[in-house]
Amino acid sequence: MQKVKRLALGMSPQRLVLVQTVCLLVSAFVIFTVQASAVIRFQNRSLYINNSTPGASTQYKVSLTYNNQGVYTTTVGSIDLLFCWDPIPSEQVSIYNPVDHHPCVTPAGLDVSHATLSAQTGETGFTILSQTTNEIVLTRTPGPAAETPSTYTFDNIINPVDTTHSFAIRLSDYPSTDASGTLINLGSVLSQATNGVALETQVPGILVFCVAAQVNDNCLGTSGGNYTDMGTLDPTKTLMATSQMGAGTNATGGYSIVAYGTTMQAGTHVISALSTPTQSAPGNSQFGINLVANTAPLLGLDPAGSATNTHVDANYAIPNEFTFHDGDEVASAPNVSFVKKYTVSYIVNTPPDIRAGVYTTTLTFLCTGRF
Amino acid sequence: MKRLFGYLSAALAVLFIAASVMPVSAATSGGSASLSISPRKNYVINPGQTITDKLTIGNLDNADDLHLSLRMIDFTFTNQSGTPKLNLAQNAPRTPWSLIPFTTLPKDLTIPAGTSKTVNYTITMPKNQGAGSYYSAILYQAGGANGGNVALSASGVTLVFASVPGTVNENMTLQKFGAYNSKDNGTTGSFVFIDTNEQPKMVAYALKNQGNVFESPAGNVIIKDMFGHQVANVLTNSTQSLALLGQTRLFTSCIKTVQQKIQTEGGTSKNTNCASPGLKPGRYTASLDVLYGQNGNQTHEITKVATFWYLPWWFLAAVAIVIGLLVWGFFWTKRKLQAAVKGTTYRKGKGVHRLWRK
Repeated sequence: MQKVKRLALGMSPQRLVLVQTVCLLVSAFVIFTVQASAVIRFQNRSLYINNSTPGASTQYKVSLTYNNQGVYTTTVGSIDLLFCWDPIPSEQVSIYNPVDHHPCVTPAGLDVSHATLSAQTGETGFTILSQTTNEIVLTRTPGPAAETPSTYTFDNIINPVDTTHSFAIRLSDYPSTDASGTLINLGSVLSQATNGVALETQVPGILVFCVAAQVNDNCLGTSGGNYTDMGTLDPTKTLMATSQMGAGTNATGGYSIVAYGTTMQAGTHVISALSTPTQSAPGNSQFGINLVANTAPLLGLDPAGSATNTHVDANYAIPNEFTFHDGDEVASAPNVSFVKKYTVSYIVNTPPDIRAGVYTTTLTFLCTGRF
Repeated sequence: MKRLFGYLSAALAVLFIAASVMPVSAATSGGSASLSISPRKNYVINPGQTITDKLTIGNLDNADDLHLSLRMIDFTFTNQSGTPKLNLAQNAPRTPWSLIPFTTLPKDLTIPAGTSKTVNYTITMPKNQGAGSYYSAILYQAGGANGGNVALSASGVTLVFASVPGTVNENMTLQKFGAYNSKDNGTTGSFVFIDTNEQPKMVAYALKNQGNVFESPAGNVIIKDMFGHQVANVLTNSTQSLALLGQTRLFTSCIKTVQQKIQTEGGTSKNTNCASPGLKPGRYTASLDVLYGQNGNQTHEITKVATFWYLPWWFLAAVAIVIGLLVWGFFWTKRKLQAAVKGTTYRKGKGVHRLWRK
């Protein structure tokens, strides 16, 4: 009582409201913390496809171990095998989850409607109750399932034809004989059709790349040759040049352009490469590039083209600041991209005491797909 | 003799000075430096099997021929991204996963202007080769030139991945998962727990591959609001990106995407950009469920739940104003009530309970 009184007496209304607000926020945090629901999964699930060529008629072997830990029954009368793009089983539709957010989309080309159960080990006694293009229901007289590794081999399954997508078999077992009612275990196995060497079933991935003094849109022509003459070195002024490159791809992995080479050098004498983005300063030993429009000096252009998902790396995207490091990525696209035209700006500054010589470099711009 | 030596010395000096100050202008162009290639090849090769595949290389330049030199090189990963780190040095040591010893490839090619050429190459997997993943890259070098201060060279690369089936060691561990902020569709960015500037447009997870095969996990991220309503179902790794051997790979996915059709040689594709997901201020829960596993090997599943808040500044300001108004309203009402009931007013610093007890 005394404690309550002290608390009450010692707290101004402002503090009281503050404490109440904090308590409310903490309570809300605790109340709304959603716990992941526990789902009992089959153990040691795997899928072996004897021939993963797209569209091939082949044998599938599904392996699993029944999991009896925490299940409401160990009596198994049926197994459902649902073939979908999305490996995640659907949540039960409820007022909180009124829409099935994991609808099963049948992988294009897949057909299990003529599959036969050719072998089974572990928990056995199953036969095919029903089958459609993308679903097989196995049934048996309901009986207890032990936690032993089991395999089910199916012949005459026709593979999906799309090699750009993995696909899954959603597995679930039931005490009923027709895969109805509440499931006991669930889980998915994942696999993928692999392109046959001589079989092109999809649009082939293409990577387009060009480099020159000037390049046309879509790399359909170049001009100005493959070298850039920067003029005579002069400690009072910055030597400048530009070149262009174009890159684009229809591959979902996108592309990456990396610059390889050395700084400018004449024998053992070198002009220092700028290791960090730095402004051009005549009279200093500097060699650097960037891929954006500059105003000091007036040089270069911003990337051009309708692709909206391309990216110039941060160190090479600062106007009026230049850098160069062998092996740096200078531009990239994270996925499919129209041909984008990049203008590379080069600057060279030299100190007054630079040793005489013809300073040169060879830069290799390398465009690669991403993995 | 002395005079001759003097003339020669003078001539050499003039040559040296000329070489020092004059730019090199005579140069030969290396022809076309405009090519189209296949960016990636994937194979399943059994031990003892030889596969022969075709490489189609296009010269997009309508004026000059394309002179190419081809060679196989090894590569590994660059940080957490899908950018390969190529071993370009001629004498670079081979990686344990190299395909170079198994590959036969033409060395030089000339492709006339505006045409394409298809060449065969083979990969022969030795009979005793163990199950696992092997990868190297085909380097196409073009456009070399002599002359100028800066000579340019263009190179393209085809990444080649081969899997030898069998029992393999697969082991991926989740390093990080959550909402992800990126201005460039995931090329760069960072994980975010509370976002006050803009709605997180991406989710991401980092998986470390400690097995002996490259992996391409697939699955979903379900995002729910603080009331348990599902607001997004994000398909992850739809581009079939790979985590290479030893790599910690970051997989990013847009919560909501917009697509742009792209017409390229041979067909139409779509590129993807992240769009605003339309999140309302509040707390969100993201549930990750991804699977991975090679053909015939155990399917592994990784699950994780993460939370993030979207609390924009305008929302925080609005909440502060509302709380301020509530506090002000509370005391205003209390004063009015006290004045009406007891004929007195609240005195600052005395405490509300004490006043009520009086």
